[in-house]
Amino acid sequence: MVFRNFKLMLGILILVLVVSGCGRVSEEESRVTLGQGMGVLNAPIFVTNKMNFWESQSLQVNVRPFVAGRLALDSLIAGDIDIATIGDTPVVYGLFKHPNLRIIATVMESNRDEKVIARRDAGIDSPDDLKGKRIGVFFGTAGEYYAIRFIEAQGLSKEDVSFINLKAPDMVAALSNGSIDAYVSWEPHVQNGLRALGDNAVVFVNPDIYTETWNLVTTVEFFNNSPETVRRVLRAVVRGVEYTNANRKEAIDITEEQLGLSRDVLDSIWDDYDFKVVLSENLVTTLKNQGEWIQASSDLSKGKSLPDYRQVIIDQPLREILPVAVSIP
Amino acid sequence: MRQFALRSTGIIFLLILWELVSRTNLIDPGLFPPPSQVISALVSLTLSGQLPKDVFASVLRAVAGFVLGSIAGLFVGAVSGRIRAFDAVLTPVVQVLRPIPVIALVPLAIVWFGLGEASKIFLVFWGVFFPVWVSSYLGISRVDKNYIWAARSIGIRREKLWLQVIVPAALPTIITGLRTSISLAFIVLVAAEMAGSYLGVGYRISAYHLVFQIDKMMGYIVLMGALGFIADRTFAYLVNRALPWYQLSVNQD
Repeated sequence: MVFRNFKLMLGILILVLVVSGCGRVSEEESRVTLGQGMGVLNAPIFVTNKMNFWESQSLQVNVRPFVAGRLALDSLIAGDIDIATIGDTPVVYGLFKHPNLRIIATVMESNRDEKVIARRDAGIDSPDDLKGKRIGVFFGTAGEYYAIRFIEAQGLSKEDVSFINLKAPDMVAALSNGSIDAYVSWEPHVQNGLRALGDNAVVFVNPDIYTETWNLVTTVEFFNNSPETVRRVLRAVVRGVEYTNANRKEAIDITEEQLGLSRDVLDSIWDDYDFKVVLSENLVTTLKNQGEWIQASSDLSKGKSLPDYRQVIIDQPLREILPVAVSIP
Repeated sequence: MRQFALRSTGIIFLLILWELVSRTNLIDPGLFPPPSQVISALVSLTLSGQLPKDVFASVLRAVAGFVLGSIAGLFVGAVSGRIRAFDAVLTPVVQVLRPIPVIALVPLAIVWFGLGEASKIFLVFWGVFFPVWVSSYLGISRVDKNYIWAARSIGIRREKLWLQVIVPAALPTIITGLRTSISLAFIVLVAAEMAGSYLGVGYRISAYHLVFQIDKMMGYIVLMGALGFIADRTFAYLVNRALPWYQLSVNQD
Protein backbone atom coordinates (compact mmCIF):
# COMPACT_ATOMS: atom_id res chain seq x y z
CA MET A 1 0.00 0.00 0.00
CA VAL A 2 2.78 2.35 1.01
CA PHE A 3 4.68 1.42 -2.13
CA ARG A 4 1.63 2.18 -4.30
CA ASN A 5 1.25 5.62 -2.67
CA PHE A 6 4.92 6.30 -3.26
CA LYS A 7 4.55 5.44 -6.97
CA LEU A 8 1.49 7.70 -7.20
CA MET A 9 3.33 10.62 -5.62
CA LEU A 10 6.35 10.06 -7.83
CA GLY A 11 4.07 10.09 -10.88
CA ILE A 12 2.46 13.36 -9.80
CA LEU A 13 5.88 14.90 -9.17
CA ILE A 14 7.13 13.91 -12.64
CA LEU A 15 3.93 15.27 -14.21
CA VAL A 16 4.32 18.60 -12.40
CA LEU A 17 7.95 18.89 -13.51
CA VAL A 18 7.07 18.08 -17.14
CA VAL A 19 4.18 20.56 -17.21
CA SER A 20 6.22 23.36 -15.62
CA GLY A 21 9.03 22.62 -18.09
CA CYS A 22 6.66 22.95 -21.04
CA GLY A 23 5.49 26.34 -19.77
CA ARG A 24 8.97 27.82 -19.87
CA VAL A 25 9.97 29.97 -22.80
CA SER A 26 12.84 28.78 -24.89
CA GLU A 27 14.93 31.84 -24.06
CA GLU A 28 15.34 32.73 -20.41
CA GLU A 29 12.97 35.52 -19.47
CA SER A 30 14.39 38.64 -17.81
CA ARG A 31 12.59 40.98 -15.50
CA VAL A 32 13.30 44.70 -15.72
CA THR A 33 11.90 47.62 -13.79
CA LEU A 34 11.77 50.69 -16.00
CA GLY A 35 11.16 54.20 -14.68
CA GLN A 36 9.73 56.60 -17.22
CA GLY A 37 9.52 60.36 -17.01
CA MET A 38 6.17 61.55 -18.30
CA GLY A 39 6.32 63.82 -21.31
CA VAL A 40 5.81 63.86 -25.06
CA LEU A 41 9.52 63.15 -25.37
CA ASN A 42 8.88 59.70 -23.89
CA ALA A 43 6.49 58.74 -26.70
CA PRO A 44 8.62 55.87 -28.11
CA ILE A 45 8.66 54.22 -24.67
CA PHE A 46 4.89 54.63 -24.33
CA VAL A 47 4.63 52.91 -27.73
CA THR A 48 7.04 50.13 -26.74
CA ASN A 49 4.96 49.50 -23.62
CA LYS A 50 1.62 49.60 -25.37
CA MET A 51 2.70 47.36 -28.26
CA ASN A 52 4.56 45.19 -25.76
CA PHE A 53 7.69 44.99 -27.88
CA TRP A 54 9.33 43.78 -24.69
CA GLU A 55 7.67 40.40 -25.10
CA SER A 56 9.47 39.51 -28.31
CA GLN A 57 12.73 40.10 -26.43
CA SER A 58 11.62 37.79 -23.59
CA LEU A 59 11.42 40.72 -21.23
CA GLN A 60 8.95 41.21 -18.43
CA VAL A 61 8.99 44.94 -17.89
CA ASN A 62 7.46 46.58 -14.86
CA VAL A 63 6.93 50.22 -15.83
CA ARG A 64 6.84 52.94 -13.17
CA PRO A 65 5.80 56.47 -14.15
CA PHE A 66 7.43 59.59 -12.67
CA VAL A 67 6.37 63.21 -13.02
CA ALA A 68 9.88 63.97 -14.26
CA GLY A 69 12.97 62.04 -15.23
CA ARG A 70 14.72 63.79 -12.33
CA LEU A 71 12.54 61.87 -9.86
CA ALA A 72 13.11 58.59 -11.73
CA LEU A 73 16.82 59.21 -11.22
CA ASP A 74 16.39 59.03 -7.42
CA SER A 75 14.82 55.60 -7.78
CA LEU A 76 17.57 54.47 -10.14
CA ILE A 77 20.27 55.53 -7.69
CA ALA A 78 18.42 53.86 -4.82
CA GLY A 79 18.23 50.62 -6.85
CA ASP A 80 14.42 50.54 -7.04
CA ILE A 81 14.51 50.56 -10.82
CA ASP A 82 17.01 49.14 -13.30
CA ILE A 83 16.70 51.54 -16.21
CA ALA A 84 15.09 54.97 -16.52
CA THR A 85 14.28 57.49 -19.22
CA ILE A 86 15.80 60.78 -18.14
CA GLY A 87 16.81 64.09 -19.72
CA ASP A 88 20.45 65.07 -19.79
CA THR A 89 20.41 67.70 -17.01
CA PRO A 90 19.48 65.38 -14.11
CA VAL A 91 22.14 62.90 -15.26
CA VAL A 92 24.82 65.62 -15.19
CA TYR A 93 23.74 66.67 -11.69
CA GLY A 94 23.57 63.05 -10.55
CA LEU A 95 27.03 62.17 -11.84
CA PHE A 96 28.62 64.54 -9.33
CA LYS A 97 27.26 62.40 -6.50
CA HIS A 98 26.78 59.03 -8.15
CA PRO A 99 29.49 58.43 -10.78
CA ASN A 100 28.13 54.98 -11.67
CA LEU A 101 25.32 56.30 -13.88
CA ARG A 102 25.56 55.24 -17.52
CA ILE A 103 23.68 56.28 -20.67
CA ILE A 104 23.00 53.44 -23.09
CA ALA A 105 21.05 55.34 -25.75
CA THR A 106 19.34 58.58 -26.63
CA VAL A 107 15.77 58.01 -27.81
CA MET A 108 14.77 61.59 -28.63
CA GLU A 109 16.32 64.95 -29.39
CA SER A 110 14.44 68.23 -29.39
CA ASN A 111 15.25 71.91 -29.32
CA ARG A 112 11.60 72.90 -28.90
CA ASP A 113 10.31 70.77 -26.03
CA GLU A 114 11.21 73.27 -23.29
CA LYS A 115 9.28 76.52 -23.49
CA VAL A 116 8.54 79.64 -21.50
CA ILE A 117 4.89 80.41 -20.88
CA ALA A 118 3.91 83.73 -19.30
CA ARG A 119 0.91 85.84 -18.34
CA ARG A 120 0.27 88.81 -20.59
CA ASP A 121 -1.49 90.63 -17.74
CA ALA A 122 1.77 90.48 -15.78
CA GLY A 123 3.16 92.83 -18.40
CA ILE A 124 4.96 90.15 -20.40
CA ASP A 125 4.68 90.43 -24.17
CA SER A 126 8.25 89.65 -25.14
CA PRO A 127 11.14 87.70 -23.55
CA ASP A 128 12.76 90.98 -22.43
CA ASP A 129 9.77 91.61 -20.17
CA LEU A 130 10.80 88.68 -17.97
CA LYS A 131 13.20 90.95 -16.10
CA GLY A 132 12.16 91.23 -12.46
CA LYS A 133 9.47 88.55 -12.84
CA ARG A 134 8.77 85.41 -10.80
CA ILE A 135 9.46 82.36 -12.94
CA GLY A 136 8.54 78.80 -11.94
CA VAL A 137 11.23 76.24 -12.68
CA PHE A 138 11.58 72.57 -11.71
CA PHE A 139 15.09 72.58 -10.31
CA GLY A 140 17.46 69.84 -11.38
CA THR A 141 15.67 69.23 -14.68
CA ALA A 142 16.33 70.30 -18.25
CA GLY A 143 13.80 73.06 -17.58
CA GLU A 144 16.25 74.71 -15.18
CA TYR A 145 19.11 74.60 -17.66
CA TYR A 146 16.87 75.91 -20.46
CA ALA A 147 15.57 78.72 -18.21
CA ILE A 148 19.10 79.90 -17.44
CA ARG A 149 20.16 79.75 -21.08
CA PHE A 150 16.96 81.52 -22.14
CA ILE A 151 17.37 84.53 -19.85
CA GLU A 152 21.09 84.72 -20.66
CA ALA A 153 20.15 84.89 -24.33
CA GLN A 154 18.06 87.99 -23.43
CA GLY A 155 21.10 89.59 -21.84
CA LEU A 156 19.73 88.95 -18.35
CA SER A 157 21.33 87.10 -15.47
CA LYS A 158 19.95 84.76 -12.80
CA GLU A 159 19.79 87.70 -10.40
CA ASP A 160 17.50 89.68 -12.73
CA VAL A 161 14.60 87.28 -12.17
CA SER A 162 13.20 85.25 -9.26
CA PHE A 163 13.31 81.54 -9.95
CA ILE A 164 10.86 79.54 -7.85
CA ASN A 165 11.23 75.79 -7.55
CA LEU A 166 7.96 74.12 -8.53
CA LYS A 167 7.07 70.63 -9.65
CA ALA A 168 5.90 70.71 -13.24
CA PRO A 169 2.22 69.84 -12.61
CA ASP A 170 1.93 72.56 -9.94
CA MET A 171 3.12 75.27 -12.32
CA VAL A 172 -0.20 75.56 -14.15
CA ALA A 173 -2.11 76.32 -10.95
CA ALA A 174 0.55 78.74 -9.74
CA LEU A 175 0.49 80.64 -13.04
CA SER A 176 -3.31 80.61 -13.19
CA ASN A 177 -3.72 82.21 -9.76
CA GLY A 178 -0.94 84.73 -10.35
CA SER A 179 1.54 83.32 -7.83
CA ILE A 180 4.13 83.35 -10.59
CA ASP A 181 4.37 85.43 -13.75
CA ALA A 182 5.82 82.72 -15.99
CA TYR A 183 7.19 79.22 -15.94
CA VAL A 184 9.59 77.10 -17.92
CA SER A 185 8.64 73.51 -18.59
CA TRP A 186 8.21 70.74 -21.08
CA GLU A 187 5.14 69.26 -22.73
CA PRO A 188 2.41 68.51 -21.71
CA HIS A 189 2.73 71.21 -19.04
CA VAL A 190 3.04 74.13 -21.46
CA GLN A 191 -0.07 73.06 -23.35
CA ASN A 192 -1.91 72.64 -20.04
CA GLY A 193 -0.92 76.21 -19.16
CA LEU A 194 -2.16 77.45 -22.52
CA ARG A 195 -5.46 75.67 -21.96
CA ALA A 196 -5.82 77.27 -18.51
CA LEU A 197 -4.88 80.83 -19.48
CA GLY A 198 -6.29 81.05 -22.98
CA ASP A 199 -5.62 84.42 -24.60
CA ASN A 200 -3.83 85.68 -21.51
CA ALA A 201 -0.92 83.30 -22.21
CA VAL A 202 2.15 84.00 -24.28
CA VAL A 203 4.71 81.33 -25.18
CA PHE A 204 8.37 81.86 -26.03
CA VAL A 205 10.70 79.30 -27.57
CA ASN A 206 14.36 79.74 -28.43
CA PRO A 207 15.50 76.72 -30.45
CA ASP A 208 19.09 77.95 -30.73
CA ILE A 209 20.18 77.65 -27.11
CA TYR A 210 19.77 74.00 -26.22
CA THR A 211 19.01 70.66 -27.82
CA GLU A 212 17.62 68.37 -25.17
CA THR A 213 18.31 64.65 -25.23
CA TRP A 214 16.03 62.01 -23.69
CA ASN A 215 18.04 59.01 -22.66
CA LEU A 216 17.92 55.45 -21.44
CA VAL A 217 20.02 55.50 -18.29
CA THR A 218 21.20 52.65 -16.09
CA THR A 219 23.97 51.98 -13.59
CA VAL A 220 27.36 50.30 -14.06
CA GLU A 221 26.21 47.60 -11.61
CA PHE A 222 23.08 46.71 -13.59
CA PHE A 223 24.92 46.73 -16.90
CA ASN A 224 27.73 44.52 -15.58
CA ASN A 225 25.25 42.07 -14.03
CA SER A 226 22.80 41.97 -16.93
CA PRO A 227 24.45 43.01 -20.21
CA GLU A 228 22.17 40.76 -22.26
CA THR A 229 19.08 42.28 -20.65
CA VAL A 230 20.33 45.74 -21.62
CA ARG A 231 20.72 44.56 -25.24
CA ARG A 232 17.18 43.20 -25.25
CA VAL A 233 15.82 46.45 -23.84
CA LEU A 234 17.62 48.34 -26.59
CA ARG A 235 16.25 46.04 -29.31
CA ALA A 236 12.70 46.54 -28.02
CA VAL A 237 13.14 50.32 -27.85
CA VAL A 238 14.56 50.40 -31.38
CA ARG A 239 11.35 48.71 -32.53
CA GLY A 240 9.34 51.22 -30.50
CA VAL A 241 11.06 54.16 -32.16
CA GLU A 242 10.65 52.63 -35.64
CA TYR A 243 6.95 52.08 -34.96
CA THR A 244 6.55 55.64 -33.62
CA ASN A 245 8.04 57.11 -36.78
CA ALA A 246 6.21 54.78 -39.18
CA ASN A 247 2.79 55.07 -37.50
CA ARG A 248 2.33 58.69 -36.49
CA LYS A 249 -1.41 58.46 -35.87
CA GLU A 250 -1.19 55.37 -33.66
CA ALA A 251 1.80 56.76 -31.76
CA ILE A 252 -0.10 59.99 -31.10
CA ASP A 253 -3.12 58.01 -29.89
CA ILE A 254 -0.93 56.08 -27.47
CA THR A 255 0.73 59.28 -26.21
CA GLU A 256 -2.68 60.96 -25.86
CA GLU A 257 -3.77 58.08 -23.64
CA GLN A 258 -0.72 58.54 -21.42
CA LEU A 259 -0.61 62.32 -21.10
CA GLY A 260 -4.20 63.44 -21.56
CA LEU A 261 -3.28 65.94 -24.26
CA SER A 262 -5.71 66.13 -27.16
CA ARG A 263 -4.68 64.48 -30.39
CA ASP A 264 -4.91 67.83 -32.25
CA VAL A 265 -2.49 69.47 -29.84
CA LEU A 266 -0.14 66.50 -30.03
CA ASP A 267 -0.32 66.53 -33.80
CA SER A 268 0.62 70.22 -33.88
CA ILE A 269 3.75 69.75 -31.74
CA TRP A 270 4.76 66.24 -32.83
CA ASP A 271 7.33 67.46 -35.35
CA ASP A 272 9.20 69.29 -32.58
CA TYR A 273 10.50 65.88 -31.50
CA ASP A 274 13.09 63.86 -33.34
CA PHE A 275 12.51 60.31 -32.18
CA LYS A 276 15.58 58.22 -32.94
CA VAL A 277 17.89 55.81 -31.18
CA VAL A 278 21.36 57.32 -31.32
CA LEU A 279 24.54 57.94 -29.41
CA SER A 280 25.93 61.09 -30.96
CA GLU A 281 28.56 63.73 -30.30
CA ASN A 282 25.67 66.10 -29.42
CA LEU A 283 25.09 64.08 -26.25
CA VAL A 284 28.72 64.37 -25.13
CA THR A 285 28.73 68.10 -25.89
CA THR A 286 25.44 68.65 -24.04
CA LEU A 287 26.67 66.77 -20.98
CA LYS A 288 29.96 68.66 -20.97
CA ASN A 289 28.31 72.08 -21.39
CA GLN A 290 25.99 71.42 -18.49
CA GLY A 291 28.80 70.03 -16.34
CA GLU A 292 30.71 73.27 -16.87
CA TRP A 293 27.59 75.31 -16.12
CA ILE A 294 27.03 73.47 -12.82
CA GLN A 295 30.71 73.81 -11.96
CA ALA A 296 30.53 77.55 -12.50
CA SER A 297 27.19 78.18 -10.83
CA SER A 298 27.20 75.95 -7.75
CA ASP A 299 29.58 74.38 -5.29
CA LEU A 300 28.33 70.88 -6.12
CA SER A 301 31.59 70.05 -7.87
CA LYS A 302 33.73 71.68 -5.16
CA GLY A 303 37.16 70.04 -5.18
CA LYS A 304 36.23 67.73 -8.03
CA SER A 305 37.09 67.80 -11.69
CA LEU A 306 34.42 67.20 -14.31
CA PRO A 307 33.85 63.56 -15.24
CA ASP A 308 34.96 62.30 -18.63
CA TYR A 309 31.49 62.38 -20.16
CA ARG A 310 32.50 60.08 -23.00
CA GLN A 311 33.08 57.36 -20.38
CA VAL A 312 29.55 57.89 -19.04
CA ILE A 313 28.19 56.54 -22.32
CA ILE A 314 28.16 52.79 -22.90
CA ASP A 315 28.04 52.45 -26.68
CA GLN A 316 28.95 48.78 -27.16
CA PRO A 317 25.41 47.28 -26.96
CA LEU A 318 23.89 49.80 -29.37
CA ARG A 319 26.90 49.47 -31.68
CA GLU A 320 26.15 45.73 -31.89
CA ILE A 321 22.42 46.16 -32.44
CA LEU A 322 22.30 49.25 -34.67
CA PRO A 323 25.84 50.26 -35.71
CA VAL A 324 24.61 53.18 -37.81
CA ALA A 325 23.11 54.80 -34.69
CA VAL A 326 26.45 55.31 -32.99
CA SER A 327 28.41 58.27 -34.28
CA ILE A 328 30.72 58.90 -31.35
CA PRO A 329 34.25 57.56 -31.65
CA MET B 1 23.80 69.26 34.96
CA ARG B 2 24.24 65.48 35.12
CA GLN B 3 21.05 65.02 33.07
CA PHE B 4 22.31 67.54 30.49
CA ALA B 5 25.61 65.66 30.25
CA LEU B 6 23.77 62.35 29.77
CA ARG B 7 21.54 63.81 27.04
CA SER B 8 24.54 65.37 25.29
CA THR B 9 26.33 62.02 25.37
CA GLY B 10 23.54 60.47 23.33
CA ILE B 11 23.71 63.17 20.68
CA ILE B 12 27.53 63.08 20.55
CA PHE B 13 27.43 59.30 20.20
CA LEU B 14 24.93 59.62 17.32
CA LEU B 15 27.17 62.19 15.56
CA ILE B 16 30.27 60.00 15.95
CA LEU B 17 28.39 56.95 14.65
CA TRP B 18 27.08 58.99 11.68
CA GLU B 19 30.61 60.29 10.91
CA LEU B 20 32.06 56.76 11.09
CA VAL B 21 29.37 55.16 8.93
CA SER B 22 29.80 57.90 6.35
CA ARG B 23 33.62 57.65 6.35
CA THR B 24 33.66 53.86 6.03
CA ASN B 25 31.92 54.19 2.62
CA LEU B 26 29.34 51.58 3.62
CA ILE B 27 26.83 53.98 2.15
CA ASP B 28 27.75 56.10 -0.88
CA PRO B 29 29.39 59.14 0.84
CA GLY B 30 28.14 61.39 -1.96
CA LEU B 31 24.61 60.55 -0.87
CA PHE B 32 25.32 60.30 2.87
CA PRO B 33 27.78 63.07 3.78
CA PRO B 34 29.35 63.03 7.26
CA PRO B 35 28.13 65.46 9.93
CA SER B 36 31.37 67.46 9.67
CA GLN B 37 30.49 68.27 6.04
CA VAL B 38 26.87 69.02 6.94
CA ILE B 39 27.92 71.37 9.75
CA SER B 40 30.38 73.10 7.42
CA ALA B 41 27.54 73.60 4.89
CA LEU B 42 25.30 75.05 7.63
CA VAL B 43 28.04 77.44 8.71
CA SER B 44 28.59 78.74 5.17
CA LEU B 45 24.81 79.13 4.65
CA THR B 46 24.58 81.07 7.90
CA LEU B 47 27.47 83.35 6.97
CA SER B 48 25.92 84.03 3.56
CA GLY B 49 22.75 85.21 5.33
CA GLN B 50 20.51 82.73 3.51
CA LEU B 51 19.86 80.41 6.42
CA PRO B 52 18.69 83.08 8.90
CA LYS B 53 16.22 84.37 6.28
CA ASP B 54 14.86 80.86 5.72
CA VAL B 55 14.53 80.17 9.44
CA PHE B 56 12.78 83.49 10.01
CA ALA B 57 10.29 82.83 7.19
CA SER B 58 9.53 79.30 8.37
CA VAL B 59 9.19 80.19 12.04
CA LEU B 60 6.88 83.08 11.18
CA ARG B 61 4.63 80.79 9.13
CA ALA B 62 4.64 78.08 11.80
CA VAL B 63 3.83 80.53 14.60
CA ALA B 64 1.07 82.27 12.63
CA GLY B 65 -0.55 78.98 11.61
CA PHE B 66 -0.16 77.53 15.09
CA VAL B 67 -1.66 80.53 16.87
CA LEU B 68 -4.61 80.83 14.49
CA GLY B 69 -5.23 77.07 14.41
CA SER B 70 -5.02 76.84 18.20
CA ILE B 71 -7.41 79.72 18.80
CA ALA B 72 -9.93 78.26 16.36
CA GLY B 73 -9.49 74.72 17.73
CA LEU B 74 -9.87 75.87 21.33
CA PHE B 75 -12.94 77.94 20.54
CA VAL B 76 -14.75 75.28 18.51
CA GLY B 77 -13.71 72.57 20.99
CA ALA B 78 -14.96 74.60 23.94
CA VAL B 79 -18.25 75.51 22.32
CA SER B 80 -18.99 71.99 21.08
CA GLY B 81 -17.78 70.50 24.37
CA ARG B 82 -20.21 72.50 26.50
CA ILE B 83 -23.23 73.34 24.35
CA ARG B 84 -25.19 70.34 23.12
CA ALA B 85 -26.75 72.08 20.12
CA PHE B 86 -23.32 73.13 18.85
CA ASP B 87 -21.99 69.67 19.58
CA ALA B 88 -24.74 68.12 17.46
CA VAL B 89 -24.10 70.51 14.56
CA LEU B 90 -20.30 70.96 14.64
CA THR B 91 -18.95 67.60 15.70
CA PRO B 92 -20.10 65.62 12.61
CA VAL B 93 -18.66 68.33 10.32
CA VAL B 94 -15.35 68.34 12.13
CA GLN B 95 -15.25 64.54 12.21
CA VAL B 96 -15.77 64.37 8.44
CA LEU B 97 -12.99 66.88 7.76
CA ARG B 98 -10.54 65.55 10.34
CA PRO B 99 -9.43 62.37 8.51
CA ILE B 100 -8.39 64.32 5.39
CA PRO B 101 -4.58 64.23 5.44
CA VAL B 102 -3.36 67.78 5.38
CA ILE B 103 -0.65 66.83 2.85
CA ALA B 104 -3.43 66.03 0.38
CA LEU B 105 -4.59 69.64 0.65
CA VAL B 106 -1.25 71.10 -0.44
CA PRO B 107 -2.12 71.30 -4.18
CA LEU B 108 -5.54 72.71 -3.30
CA ALA B 109 -3.97 75.36 -1.08
CA ILE B 110 -1.74 76.42 -3.98
CA VAL B 111 -4.79 76.72 -6.25
CA TRP B 112 -6.78 78.66 -3.64
CA PHE B 113 -4.12 80.86 -2.07
CA GLY B 114 -1.16 80.76 -4.44
CA LEU B 115 2.45 80.32 -3.41
CA GLY B 116 2.59 83.16 -0.91
CA GLU B 117 2.26 83.14 2.86
CA ALA B 118 -1.49 82.52 2.91
CA SER B 119 -1.25 78.94 1.58
CA LYS B 120 1.41 77.96 4.14
CA ILE B 121 -0.43 79.53 7.06
CA PHE B 122 -3.68 77.93 5.94
CA LEU B 123 -2.09 74.46 5.82
CA VAL B 124 -0.46 74.84 9.24
CA PHE B 125 -3.76 76.16 10.56
CA TRP B 126 -5.53 73.08 9.21
CA GLY B 127 -2.94 70.71 10.65
CA VAL B 128 -3.09 72.33 14.09
CA PHE B 129 -6.84 72.90 14.32
CA PHE B 130 -7.99 69.28 14.60
CA PRO B 131 -5.74 67.96 17.39
CA VAL B 132 -6.42 71.12 19.39
CA TRP B 133 -10.14 70.77 18.75
CA VAL B 134 -10.11 67.11 19.83
CA SER B 135 -8.15 67.83 23.00
CA SER B 136 -10.23 70.82 24.04
CA TYR B 137 -13.49 69.07 23.14
CA LEU B 138 -12.57 65.98 25.16
CA GLY B 139 -11.07 67.99 28.01
CA ILE B 140 -14.08 70.26 28.39
CA SER B 141 -16.85 67.74 27.74
CA ARG B 142 -15.37 65.34 30.28
CA VAL B 143 -15.00 67.74 33.20
CA ASP B 144 -16.31 65.98 36.29
CA LYS B 145 -19.98 66.97 36.64
CA ASN B 146 -19.61 67.01 40.43
CA TYR B 147 -17.22 69.97 40.15
CA ILE B 148 -19.75 71.89 38.08
CA TRP B 149 -22.67 71.03 40.38
CA ALA B 150 -20.64 71.96 43.45
CA ALA B 151 -19.63 75.29 41.91
CA ARG B 152 -23.20 76.06 40.86
CA SER B 153 -24.54 75.14 44.29
CA ILE B 154 -22.54 78.02 45.75
CA GLY B 155 -23.95 80.37 43.10
CA ILE B 156 -20.85 80.81 40.88
CA ARG B 157 -21.30 83.04 37.84
CA ARG B 158 -20.94 81.63 34.32
CA GLU B 159 -17.59 83.31 33.49
CA LYS B 160 -16.12 82.23 36.82
CA LEU B 161 -17.38 78.70 36.23
CA TRP B 162 -15.33 78.66 33.01
CA LEU B 163 -12.23 80.30 34.40
CA GLN B 164 -12.11 78.60 37.79
CA VAL B 165 -13.61 75.17 37.17
CA ILE B 166 -13.94 74.06 33.55
CA VAL B 167 -10.68 75.40 32.08
CA PRO B 168 -8.42 74.25 34.95
CA ALA B 169 -10.00 70.79 34.87
CA ALA B 170 -9.62 70.51 31.08
CA LEU B 171 -6.15 72.06 30.98
CA PRO B 172 -4.02 68.87 31.05
CA THR B 173 -5.81 67.47 27.99
CA ILE B 174 -5.72 70.82 26.19
CA ILE B 175 -2.01 71.30 26.82
CA THR B 176 -1.27 67.80 25.50
CA GLY B 177 -3.19 68.66 22.32
CA LEU B 178 -1.37 71.97 21.90
CA ARG B 179 1.99 70.32 22.41
CA THR B 180 1.25 67.61 19.84
CA SER B 181 0.24 70.32 17.41
CA ILE B 182 3.61 72.04 17.62
CA SER B 183 5.40 69.14 15.93
CA LEU B 184 2.49 68.77 13.50
CA ALA B 185 2.84 72.44 12.57
CA PHE B 186 6.44 71.87 11.47
CA ILE B 187 5.62 68.66 9.59
CA VAL B 188 2.87 70.41 7.63
CA LEU B 189 5.02 73.47 7.07
CA VAL B 190 7.77 71.43 5.43
CA ALA B 191 5.25 69.80 3.08
CA ALA B 192 3.74 73.19 2.25
CA GLU B 193 7.09 74.85 1.60
CA MET B 194 8.34 71.92 -0.47
CA ALA B 195 5.38 72.27 -2.81
CA GLY B 196 6.46 75.74 -3.83
CA SER B 197 7.78 78.78 -2.09
CA TYR B 198 10.27 81.57 -2.35
CA LEU B 199 12.19 80.76 0.80
CA GLY B 200 11.95 78.70 3.96
CA VAL B 201 13.49 75.55 5.42
CA GLY B 202 11.17 73.13 3.60
CA TYR B 203 11.73 74.98 0.33
CA ARG B 204 15.50 74.58 0.63
CA ILE B 205 15.21 70.86 1.45
CA SER B 206 13.30 70.31 -1.80
CA ALA B 207 15.51 72.58 -3.91
CA TYR B 208 18.79 71.07 -2.68
CA HIS B 209 17.41 67.56 -3.14
CA LEU B 210 16.74 68.22 -6.81
CA VAL B 211 20.24 69.52 -7.51
CA PHE B 212 22.00 66.83 -5.45
CA GLN B 213 23.42 69.21 -2.82
CA ILE B 214 22.93 66.51 -0.22
CA ASP B 215 25.08 68.11 2.51
CA LYS B 216 22.98 71.29 2.44
CA MET B 217 19.76 69.30 2.22
CA MET B 218 20.73 67.26 5.29
CA GLY B 219 21.78 70.45 7.06
CA TYR B 220 18.30 71.90 6.58
CA ILE B 221 16.70 68.61 7.69
CA VAL B 222 18.74 68.66 10.90
CA LEU B 223 17.83 72.32 11.30
CA MET B 224 14.15 71.48 10.99
CA GLY B 225 14.55 68.90 13.76
CA ALA B 226 16.29 71.49 15.91
CA LEU B 227 13.53 74.04 15.28
CA GLY B 228 10.89 71.50 16.32
CA PHE B 229 12.85 70.70 19.47
CA ILE B 230 13.32 74.38 20.35
CA ALA B 231 9.62 75.08 19.74
CA ASP B 232 8.64 72.22 22.02
CA ARG B 233 11.01 73.36 24.79
CA THR B 234 9.82 76.95 24.41
CA PHE B 235 6.22 75.82 24.77
CA ALA B 236 7.09 73.81 27.89
CA TYR B 237 8.94 76.81 29.31
CA LEU B 238 6.01 79.15 28.67
CA VAL B 239 3.56 76.68 30.21
CA ASN B 240 5.79 76.38 33.27
CA ARG B 241 5.98 80.13 33.63
CA ALA B 242 2.28 80.71 33.13
CA LEU B 243 1.10 77.71 35.17
CA PRO B 244 3.73 77.00 37.83
CA TRP B 245 1.61 74.26 39.46
CA TYR B 246 1.54 72.41 36.13
CA GLN B 247 5.32 72.22 35.74
CA LEU B 248 5.78 68.61 36.74
CA SER B 249 3.28 67.22 34.26
CA VAL B 250 4.82 69.22 31.39
CA ASN B 251 8.28 67.88 32.15
CA GLN B 252 6.98 64.36 32.34
CA ASP B 253 5.67 64.40 28.75
